[in-house]
This record gives sequence, C-alpha cells and structure tokens, in this order.
Amino acid sequence: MTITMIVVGLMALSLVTYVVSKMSKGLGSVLTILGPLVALLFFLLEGSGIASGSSIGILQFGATKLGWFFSVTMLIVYGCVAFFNPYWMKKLVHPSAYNMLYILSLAGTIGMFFAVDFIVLFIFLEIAVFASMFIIPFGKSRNAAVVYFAMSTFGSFAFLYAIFMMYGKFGSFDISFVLGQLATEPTTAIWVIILMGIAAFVKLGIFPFHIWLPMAHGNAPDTFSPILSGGLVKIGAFIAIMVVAIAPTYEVLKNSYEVMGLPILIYIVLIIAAISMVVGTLMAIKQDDAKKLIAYSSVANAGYIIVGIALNDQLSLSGAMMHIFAHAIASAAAFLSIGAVSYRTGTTKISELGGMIQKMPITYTVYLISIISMAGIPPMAGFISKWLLFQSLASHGLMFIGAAAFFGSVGSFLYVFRPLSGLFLGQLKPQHNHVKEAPIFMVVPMVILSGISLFFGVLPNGLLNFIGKIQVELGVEGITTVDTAIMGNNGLLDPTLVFINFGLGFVKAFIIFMSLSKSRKVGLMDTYTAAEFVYDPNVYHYAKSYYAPIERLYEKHPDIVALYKGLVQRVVDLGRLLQFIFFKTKPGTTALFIVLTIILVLWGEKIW
Amino acid sequence: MSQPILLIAIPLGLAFLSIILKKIKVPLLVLGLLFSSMLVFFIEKKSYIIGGFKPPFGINLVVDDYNLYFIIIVNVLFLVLVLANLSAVKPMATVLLVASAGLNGLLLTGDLFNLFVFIEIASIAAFILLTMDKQFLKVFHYIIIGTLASSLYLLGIVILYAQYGTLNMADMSGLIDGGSITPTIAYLLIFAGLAVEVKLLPFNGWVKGVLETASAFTGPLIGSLYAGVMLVVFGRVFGGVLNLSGTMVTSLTIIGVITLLAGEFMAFQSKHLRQVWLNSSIAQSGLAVILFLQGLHHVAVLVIVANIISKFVLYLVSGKIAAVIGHDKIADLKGIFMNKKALGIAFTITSLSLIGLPLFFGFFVKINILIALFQSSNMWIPALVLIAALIESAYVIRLLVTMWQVGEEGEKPETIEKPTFSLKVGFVTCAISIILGLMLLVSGVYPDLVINQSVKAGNVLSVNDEIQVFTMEGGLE
Amino acid sequence: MVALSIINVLIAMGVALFGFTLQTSVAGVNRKIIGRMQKRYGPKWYQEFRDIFKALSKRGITHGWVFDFGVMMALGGILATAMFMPVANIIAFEGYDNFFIFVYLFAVGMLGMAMSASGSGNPLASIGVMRALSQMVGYEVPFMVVILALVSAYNTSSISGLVAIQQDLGWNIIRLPIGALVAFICLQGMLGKKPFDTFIAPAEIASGPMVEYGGKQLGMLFIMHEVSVFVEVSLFVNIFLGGGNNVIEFIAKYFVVYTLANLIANTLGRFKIDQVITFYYKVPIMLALLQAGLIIFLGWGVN
Repeated sequence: MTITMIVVGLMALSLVTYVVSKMSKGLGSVLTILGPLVALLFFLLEGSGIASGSSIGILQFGATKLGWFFSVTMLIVYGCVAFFNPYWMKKLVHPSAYNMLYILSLAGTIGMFFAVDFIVLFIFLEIAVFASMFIIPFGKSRNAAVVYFAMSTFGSFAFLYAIFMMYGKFGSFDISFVLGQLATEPTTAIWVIILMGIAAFVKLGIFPFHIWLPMAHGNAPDTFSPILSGGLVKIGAFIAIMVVAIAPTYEVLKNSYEVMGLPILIYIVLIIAAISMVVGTLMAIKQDDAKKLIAYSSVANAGYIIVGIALNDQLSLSGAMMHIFAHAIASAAAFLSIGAVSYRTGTTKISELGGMIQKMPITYTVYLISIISMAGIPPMAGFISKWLLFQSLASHGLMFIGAAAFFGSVGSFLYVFRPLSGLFLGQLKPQHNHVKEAPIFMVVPMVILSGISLFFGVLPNGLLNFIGKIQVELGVEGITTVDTAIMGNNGLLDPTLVFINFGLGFVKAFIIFMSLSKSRKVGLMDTYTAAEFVYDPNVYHYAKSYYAPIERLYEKHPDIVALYKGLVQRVVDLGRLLQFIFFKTKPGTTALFIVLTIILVLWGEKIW
Repeated sequence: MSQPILLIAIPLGLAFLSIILKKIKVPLLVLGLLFSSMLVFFIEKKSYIIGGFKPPFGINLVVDDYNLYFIIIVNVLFLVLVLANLSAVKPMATVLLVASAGLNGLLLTGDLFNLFVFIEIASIAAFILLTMDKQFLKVFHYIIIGTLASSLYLLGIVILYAQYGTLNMADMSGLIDGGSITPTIAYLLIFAGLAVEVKLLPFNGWVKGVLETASAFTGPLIGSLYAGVMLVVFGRVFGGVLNLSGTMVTSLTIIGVITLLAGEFMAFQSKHLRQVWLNSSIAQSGLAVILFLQGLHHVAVLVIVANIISKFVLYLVSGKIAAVIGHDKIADLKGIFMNKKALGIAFTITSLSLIGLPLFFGFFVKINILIALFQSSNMWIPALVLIAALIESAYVIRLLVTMWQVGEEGEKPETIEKPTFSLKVGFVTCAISIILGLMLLVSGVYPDLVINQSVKAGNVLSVNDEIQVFTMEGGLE
Repeated sequence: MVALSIINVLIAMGVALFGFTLQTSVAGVNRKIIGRMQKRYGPKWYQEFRDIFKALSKRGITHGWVFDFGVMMALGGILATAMFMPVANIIAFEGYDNFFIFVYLFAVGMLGMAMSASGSGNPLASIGVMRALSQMVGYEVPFMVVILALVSAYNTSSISGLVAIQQDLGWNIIRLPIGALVAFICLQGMLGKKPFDTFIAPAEIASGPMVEYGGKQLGMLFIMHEVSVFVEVSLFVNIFLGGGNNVIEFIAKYFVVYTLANLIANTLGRFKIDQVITFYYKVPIMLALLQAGLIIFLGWGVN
C-alpha cells in the first residue's frame, strides 16, 4: 500500500460510508472503525519507509518519518475513538453525515502530513478543518462551529498568504525547496515565519487564539471531542515543526537581537506559549464542565509543545514530539472516559455527577491513567515528555518560561483532580443508581489507549529512538538512549527503573495492607458528619466551585472572548453603517455619490 | 454555420410574435430559448459583419474565446431558469425574450455604441421583470439610476468618438494604444456608467431594494445572469478596449477594494438570506473589477464563472425558500434543510464553493487569484482579498450551520427534536440546484478544462504569455 | 536498567526504611522539644512509632476499593521516591536521582492519598484535598524556579551531583542565601507546618483529608507522611546544606532543619488557604526569580 492509495482510499471510503450509512447507520459506523484501523495496519506493516506512490495530478505525497509519526498518532486516536461511533448513531441528528465527515477529516489530516507541495498541504488542511467543523454543531452548540471555523480560517489564510509570499519570491510550491531557499530572503522569511507561526498557534489553540478550543471541544459530540483534542489540534504542532525545524528559522534569525541566547522572535514565541500554559491552567481550574476543562488543559499542553518545538534542540524537540504523542493519547482517553460517563448519564457537568466509580470502575481507571499522563506524573508517557522539556528549559536557563511551565505542571494536578474527585469519587447521586459500566466496545478502546500511555511511560525508548531518527531527518541532533535510560543534558532518566521502584513500593504497601487485619466495609454515607444527620447524597458531595478559594483570586480576570466579541460587533456596526449610507431609497443620494466619486477621481488625476 | 446574430434576432422576432399570438407565448418563449441554447454550441469564433459594411464603419458582432464561454453559460442558464419557473413567467414571456436578446447582444457586440443600445434593451427588460416583485418604488429607483448610468456611458463614448472617430472596439483599441492623449474624463464616465450595472460601491444604491425581495425567478436573473453579463462587458471594455494606466488604475482599484470589503462587511451583518447574497454579489463584483483593472483577466473570468453559477443556485434556492416560508429571516430558518437534504446539499456545495474550500471549484478560483496577484508583485490586494474571504467564510458557515441544525444553543443532541416540517420545493428546482452543485464539485476536483478555457479567454483581452495557473493536472503551467 | 541490581534495590529499600526510622524518631524528639517549649513534659521520643503501630493494629473501616487502593498507591509512590534519595554517601541509583523524579514521583503518592480521601465519600475530606492541592500550587513554583537556576548553573539535575558540587564549592545556603530562604519557606509549605498547615489543620477542625481514616489505613498514611517528610527535608539538606560526608553529619543537618521548621511553626498562626497562595505569589516567587536571575545572568554564587 502506498500513501497515495491510503489517502485516496480514505477519501473514497468517506463517500462509501455516507451511502452505506444511509442504508444502515450501524454498518456505516463500523466502517468508521475499520477505515482508520486498516490504514493504521498498513502504516505499521510498511513502517516509516512506506512507499509514497505515484502522483495523481497534483496529488503527490512523499514519505517522511515525521509524517509517519503524526499519521500513526492520528490513526491510533481515530481508530480507538471510532469504537464510540456506533453508540452515538441514535443520538446524532445527522448520523450519515457524521460518519462521512469523520473519515473525511481523517483523510484530510493524513494527506496533509505527507504533502510535498504547499498547495496540496493546504487542500488537505482545509478538508480536515471543514469536515470537522461540520461535525461540531451536531453536539451542543451551533455557534462553536462558526467560531472554530472563523478562527481556523484566519489561521489557514495566514498560512496561505505565507505560502504565496514564498511563491512570489521563489516561484514554487515545493515544500522542501521553498523552505530551503528561505535563508536567502531574510525579510520574506521573517514574515513567512510569523504568518505560519500564527497558523500553528491558531490550530494548536495557543493564547490568544485559544477561545475556540473550549467552545468546540466542550460542545462537540462526545465522540468527536477526543478527535479534536487528541488529533486535530496536533495539526498545529505539525505546522510549528515545519516552521521551526524544516524552515531554516534559526539561520534566518541569527543576526537578530538575542534574549538569553535565543533570537528575540523565538523568545516572544516562548512567552506566548508560557502565557498559554498559565491561562489554560487557570481557566481549566475553574471549569465545571469536564469537557471544557480538558479543552482548556489542551491549551496549556499546547504551550508545552510550542516551547519544545521553538527551542528546537536535541531534548526539547524530542520532548515536544513525545508530548504530542502522549497528550494525544491521554487527552483522547480522558475525553472518551468523560464521553462514556455522558453516554450513561447524559451530562458532563461535574457538579451534576458524583461517585461514578462505583458504577463505572473501568472508566474511572482509564480516566485516572490518562490524567496521570496529562499531569506528567510517572509512570505514564506524559512524564517522559515533561522531563525532557524541563531538562531543556533548565539547560537554557529560561527561568520565566520555566516558572510558567512549573505553574502549568502543578496547576494540572489541580484541574485533573477536579473531575476525578467531583465526578468519579464522592457520593453517588440516587438518580444514577441504575447506571451500568460502559458497554464492552466502549471499554476496549479506552483500555487500549491507557495501555499505550502506560507502555510508553515505562518503555519509551523504542519511540524515543524513532523520534531521534525524525530529529536527524529534521537536521537536529537525535535524542540518545542507553538501554532503558534516556540521556538528558544534565542527568539521566530511567523510566523503567522508576516504574520498577514504584512497583516495589506498591508491593510493599500491598503486603503491609494485606498482612493487617481486614477492614469493615461501610457505605459512603456512613461517614463523619460532625453530629449532623445527613441522609441525602445530593447535598453531601463536594463538587460545585471546587477550587473556590483559588477561583476567587482571579475571578475578575479580563475575558479575551469579550475582545473577539467586540471585534465582531465592530464588523457588524461597520456593515450596518455602510448599508445605511449607501442603500437609501432616494435615487438622488446615489446620483450624488456617483458625481462625487467622479469628481474625486478626477481631482486625484490632476493632483497626482 | 450559424450566425450569432440569430441569438439576438430570433428572440426579438419571437417577442414581436408573442405579442400577436398571446395564447402560445410561453411555448414561443421556451422555443426561442431552446433554440438559442442549441445554437450557441455551433457558433464559430470570428468577427461577424452585419449589414454589409466592414468594421469600423458597420456594426459587427464578435465571437471569441472570451465571450463564447459566457454565451453558452448564460443562454443555457436562462433556459433552465425559465423552465424552473414556468408557472411564473407567463405574463412576462415577451419581456423575457427581449431580455434574452439584450443579454446576448451585450455579450456579442463589438461596438461601443451598440453596447449602449443593448444596455438599454436589457435594462428596460429588467425594469419590467422586476415589477413582478411588486416593489415599484424600488424599481423606480433602479430606473432612475440605470438611466443616469446609461447617460453617463453615452456621454463617455461621445467624447471617445469625438477623439478617435470610431466606436468599433477593435479599432478603438488599436487607436488608443497608438495615441498619446488619454481622455480621462471619458474613461471615468464609461466607468461610472458600467459601475452602476456591475454594482460597485458607491454606484449601487439600487441593488438592495431590488434584490432583497427578488423571487426565485428575478433573483437568479438579475443577481446572477445580469450581474455576470455586466461584468463580462466591463471586462471587455476596460480589459480589452480602454487602456487604463497610472493613477487611474490605482483610484479605480481602490473603488474595487472598497466594494469588496464593504460588500463583505454588509453581508456579515445581514439578517436576511437574500440580503446576504446581494451583498456578497457586490463583493464578488468588486473582486472581478479589481482583477480586470490589474490586468489579470483570466482569473477575473474565473471569478465571473464561479459567481454566475453559485449565485444562480443561491438566489434560486433562497427565492424558493422565501416563497414557501413567506420570509427569509435567517434566524427563523433553523434546520430548514433537515427534511430536504438533496436541496440542502446542493446549497451547501454552492456556498462552500463560494467561500473557496477545497474539493469545490471556488478553491481553484481563490488559489489562482492569489497566484496571479502575487505574480504581479501585489502584496496588499491579496491580503485584503483574504480578509474579505475570511469574513465571507464566517457568515456563510454561520448560515449553513443554522440551516442544517436545529436546537437551542447548549441543547444536547439527543434531546433535540427533529422538525417534521418539510420544505416544499419543486423537483425541478432541486434537480437544477443539484446538477449545478455537482458541476462545481466536479470542476473542483478536476478544474483544468475550465481554467484552461479562462486562460484562453483572458488572452483575448490582452495576451500574456507568462500566466501561471494552478490546475489539478500538472500543477503550474 | 543500568542501575538495577539486587544490591541496589536492597540499598534503596534500606534508605527508605532508614528515612522512615529517622523521621519518625526526629518527629518524636521534636514533640518533646515543643512540649518543653510550651512548658509541658511532652511524650516519649518514640511516641510516633507507638501511634503508628497502634493505628496499624486496629481494625478500621473502609469505604470501598479506591479508599484502600489510594492508600497503597500513596505509600508505594512515596516509598519509591525515598528509594532514590541519596543519604550522605549512600546512593542507591547513582546518576538516576534526578530532581524532577522527586517532584513527580512524589506526586504519585500525593495523588494516591488525595484519591483515597475523596473516595471516602466525605465532602470534608474533598475540601481538605482541595486545600492541599491549592497549597501545592503555592509552594512548588518558587521552589522549582530556584532549583531550575541551580540545575542550569551546575549543569546537573542529579541530587548527588549537586551534593558533589557543594563539596567543592561550599554549601549553597551560604553562597545562595536568597534561594535557600525561598526553599525553606517552600519546605514549610511542603511539610504542612504553620503558617501553612491549613489543609491538615490538625488541631482545630475535624475536617481535612484524614477525616475518614482509622485503623491500618491511618497507620499506613502515617508511615507515608513520615517518609514524605523525610524526602522533603532530605531534599533541602542535600541541595542547600551539602548533604553529608557521613550518615551522622547528614542526620545532624536533618535534625537541625526539621527542628527549625517545627520551632518556627510553633510560633506562628495559620494562614487561610487563599492567603497561603497570595503569600507565595508575592514574596517567595519574587525572591526565587531574583535568585534565579542572579545565578543565570550574573553568575553570582555559583562559580
């Protein structure tokens, strides 16, 4: 199988899915599972040296390790999430369209990762964007889709303008050729870098372009939020890698003013990323909707990815790529577990839930593992990437960025714990007594994703060695590993050792626990209540405004959404004004305008 | 071989006939249009002499790559439009035949004065047709402005005639290229005259009144066919005949840019379906005018083609919706396509093509606009074009999402009740929309034929060997 | 698994056991000291051991599997963290005692405990956990900024590496007093000592994470608490006081640091939780950034 065949095949499959779904929704949704899984199988069988295949017209693809890495990540997410689709067929308003767009957005992303030509890249990028955009309104919000699309289009157009600036200078759309030439045109290059950077920021959801993430991820159908957060935002990371690592950004900027040994532009990017981490964290802490919470956490995590990519050295780039992978898997799993809860209870609001662990223990475990990875705690994959990033930050001595990164990291403990405590732990609401564990085919993909998080948290070196190869492909020194240990700039990390030690500690604790007398099991309502008689589990649960003391500290924060709303309002006002001025029903006015314009232009002719 | 004059003469003749044979005037109309639509496929590309005098002394019709393309599109779509609204056209059959003759004349003529005559014929037909919508005051507004415009145009060509002693386009073009004086005022008057018809701001006071209440018949006719033909004429005059240069180009381009942006701004705030499309048409006209003025004729042609087809479907469907529902307030059109998927899909494809998403024809239009603009080392215009496109994307998507989805903001999908309401739109309308939508889809996947044709068309106006276009096959040429 | 052999593992387990014994004894002694300070007799120095074993021997209640599992995860995570800790010249995993491991592996234990407490179903416990996590946001960031500057300057993030450097250059607390001060304030927060004992609030309120515990769960959390205090204080001793050439020196330094923290705690009142956070984001973070700036830009105290 070649890449061309896979991409074209997926596009064809999306149409087939639509037709099949029209006949049988279930069968169509099964196709959405098979599509990504079969494609994943091909990618894994062929390896990163997969043939690119002959070109069809302008559709030409080139196999790169980077593209393979991104595609496989994406396919794992799409494949696992797709298992949820059959269960949502009844809930969605347009099930057939959903199935079609699901596969189409996948085809768009895969095509984009292997494009050798900027226009092809742009085509597939836009396909992925509009396919996903049409799915979002199937969920809770109609406005979210418009905001998502408008933001995304803003990014795409910045990207498009950059593409054409390069085309104007070098007369080609070939990615490697054009980016290679950039160093010869420093002025153009800086504009290109800025514009493409904006595109990457928008897609990743970096501050101040992050507002679409909570809207879109929080309101998309529960089956699609994991795709958005785990899959599609990573397109931004791909563009960012393209800007920093493939384009000769550091060479272009080598004569610019430097801050802490970094070009000023890179430092500004780091600051923006740091702001994203802080803003994402603070906003996530105060969310009551679990999906919005994870969406804001994606903002914070995007900050880490951008920091890693922008520094573009041995450790940071590998850290960023590891983070892309780890966060994709973890946030997909977290969204899926919340989706599973929503499937059974119909809500994702933390304050409306509680004690789900008693009914859905496997879902709970999946969520636990995914948040451990998201918070960067060993023994999950998220820890490896954070460790690499901190190593890099420390060796650069970037203390302000470091402070933000640490804040984001500690803050993540807070926000990931909020759903854990409020939604899964605590008192079970009486109305959820009948709830059962998620169906088996929803559990399986969640467990697989958790397994992946754990596996690459304990034995990451296979993946890291591959990332090292990607780095070499990108012209950066590859990450080095020895046996199970990872070599950092200023220390070693052996995740396997950490895991074994943790295991030993746990076994010790287990032995202590088991050797002691058995505890008596009591119900959750049988607790210390300071002599108060509480009988209603609904009032005996702490979930509403969980971090009230912290939330109070920044409750009067400025709202960036207001800024965008203001901007939109200005556009509307201007449009109204223009319409008021020019569209009068008085012909005289129009005639006056005509005469005035003629005079004005004539006047210009004379003066200039 | 067939004579293009028949495209004008036959409808005119049938129009007279239809006054006499009132009973069969609708069959006559259909017959005439059918004949025109067949005829266009057999026309040969050359200059036709009418009445025996050789140009520049006699009047002549010109068929070349530039207008052949549009003659086919306009005639076929005209027929299609009439067929789709057969019940509504009965009282207007005669006028429609005149309109057809006028439009064909506008496209075919090789003479500036004849152009004036055809503008008048087409306009008068339009005035009468628009009275179908019962907005007499607004039509009256249009009549006044339209007449003013033709007078300005006439004044312009009078000056030109005094200067060069000819009104034949080809002849005039040669004289202007060789001459040393630029009759600025004449250019400006002609520009103003045509600007009213192509709806440039601030010349377009009539548009809103006329188009915001246009029916499924007058909407496509005025908003798509007339607008397209007028743009073609504008291109013919300003791209092929009058040779603008220097500050004139800059000033007029600024008018185009203002039109483009203002159109999108106004469309963004519009709350009614047809109001959105009319403002969007204004913007697209602005875009085409910018491209003509910048000498990028081949992409201007692409813009016109895409605009004719997409606006045709959009006005048609919007007009039908307004007729069925009784209004076209967007906020009240929630989920209107849910039980009319085929029509909805056609509408969606068309709108997505309008905002230039890949897989649809509009994408290649957008890419080729940018290629052409960057090739001529423009930096600001493409940025503004992209800003306009951004605003356009936002309101089109907002519109589509509203029309496909029901449910309040924040309502969960499983609790949303599907509407039982079904949009009662006839089969013919659906079929037409779907076929045109499919054309946009097919040419979005394989646009090469259309693009190559527009390059040929652009080369008629001014030969440019260095044109690069982006097509599916082989990328750049 | 370069470092993993039976010997290393045994040493590591020894370190953890040593840490537990050391801290429990020191805590007992401290209770005596505080008692004397308050004109009381105070308990025996081994009182803490008694408490723990008493709790372990009692038959308690459980609120479900996550209640128990969380306790095991907490103890396991903290034990694993302690196993990496270099004590004087005893280093179980040379080169792998990375600072970031301590921070994040420690978090496993904390997460386990938090989970267990929330799993008890008592909202008061959840509130306690919320306070503990909120406090964490306060003290972690200034502390880690200081460490980042150190790692950046010495180019090693291994604790034993930092100890070795101090043996050449002298103690960090002398050369970098601002950083040490910040770290000490943060240590106070980590230990949950006044004025930062809001989340446990041992004396006044019967709420906080521990409200539902009794029996072996409580005993195990006591053990976990002692080991975690050992890890926290040892980090300070190793990073700022140059560790120790031998175990006695290490114990001496350890005792001084812990006792000092305890003495300070017993002379102060308590912050409310939002005051804790605002405090940390006023003085310590500024000082931490100042120290980091001095180290990174001017190279003061690290050459």
